[in-house]
Amino acid sequence: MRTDETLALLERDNPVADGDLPEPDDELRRRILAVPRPPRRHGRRKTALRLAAAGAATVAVVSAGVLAFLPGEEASAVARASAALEGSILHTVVVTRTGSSTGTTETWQQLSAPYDSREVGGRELAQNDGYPEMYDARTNTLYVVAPGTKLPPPGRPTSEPARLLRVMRNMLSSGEAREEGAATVDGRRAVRLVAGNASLLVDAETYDPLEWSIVSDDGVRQTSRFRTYEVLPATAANLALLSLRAQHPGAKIEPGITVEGFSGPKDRE
Amino acid sequence: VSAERFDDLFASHYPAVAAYALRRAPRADAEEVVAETFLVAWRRLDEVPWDAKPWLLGVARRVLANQRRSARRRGALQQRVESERSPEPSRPRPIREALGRLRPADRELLLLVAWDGLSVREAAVALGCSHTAAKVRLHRARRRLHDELTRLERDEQLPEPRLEGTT
Repeated sequence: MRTDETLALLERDNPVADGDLPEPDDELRRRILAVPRPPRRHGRRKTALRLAAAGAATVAVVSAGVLAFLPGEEASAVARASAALEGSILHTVVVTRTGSSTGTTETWQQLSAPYDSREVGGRELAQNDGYPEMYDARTNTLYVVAPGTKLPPPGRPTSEPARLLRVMRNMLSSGEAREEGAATVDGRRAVRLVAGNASLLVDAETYDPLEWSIVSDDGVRQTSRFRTYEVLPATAANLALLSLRAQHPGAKIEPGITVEGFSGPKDRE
Repeated sequence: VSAERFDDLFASHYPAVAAYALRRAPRADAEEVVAETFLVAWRRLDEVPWDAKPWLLGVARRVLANQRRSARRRGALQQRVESERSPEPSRPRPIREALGRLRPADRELLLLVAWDGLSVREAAVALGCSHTAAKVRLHRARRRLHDELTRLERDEQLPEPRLEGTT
């Protein structure tokens, strides 16, 4: 037996496989948020200010991370980019590139409960009040879950742009993000923000995200370029963009989707 | 802003932290580890890096180690009494037995990569060592696991000792 076979044997012996990961415990989240936080520590800021004294070039880098937390100061690029991630219905067209493979997906994602979404990529899929739906254009059929299927309501947005949004917010609010020069993306002037092995290019005027990119340990870069990034108000017309039924009113409804593990009426309660 | 960031952290990383704990401890202990880990994250939110998973697993590892130390102190005597009463435990699978023969630090590094899906760089953050040190240790740990497993298999294949003069 070779060493890599031994490691594969160990991977197969995983007592909690990736498909069985526990769901977030909302009760625990609430209990922790009720605990008062200690006063903010200023260690990082002091370090940043000491670094700033080392040279003018460093000042520019450090200020992006520090000014976001100083009231009364002009907002930093990091703070403006954070503000640009707020809204109700996120509409994106994202081109994802990993190595040599590329894919484009257009998504509408509601950013508050019930977190409905619709995406058009290789297929047209939606989440309607937590229930998955799929539209088949060839047969003009809308596949919905089998009658009686009960699913737990989603606790957060589930689409890939929503995940990207969370990652970008995490990066911008961590205090690690710093401004690092300018770039041009699809002819638009952009500010580059970096933290560790990730970089975010935001529009130099609106601070909307233009491109998110991260490099894995083995050097593979994954890039998500936002061809469209807009946050829409929750009007009736915009809410209809989330719904496969509204987009394909003449479609035949077929209750063909079964969701493994969820079938009893009690599962939703 | 703090509550929002914590919500994102919790939603994104709860499954990984809970799985980490459940892979190493009984359910009741694992629940305590998860609660303590996220409480630490909430209290020290300013220190949580944006790539939070390795940091959180590092906290969970330390919480689990403290929990085990306390349990050992509390229950050493009780455990000895119980082990004297209980029947011989069944033998673990060879891969687990081989894993159990490794040094705890090597075992943890292997499990962070094989079970928790961390890259070597992320495992280094969780263990609080350099990327280079983690790479070297992982290489060594894989070889040791392989050697232990080979040794176990070889021992199992050895014929039962025979008394001289028997047929």
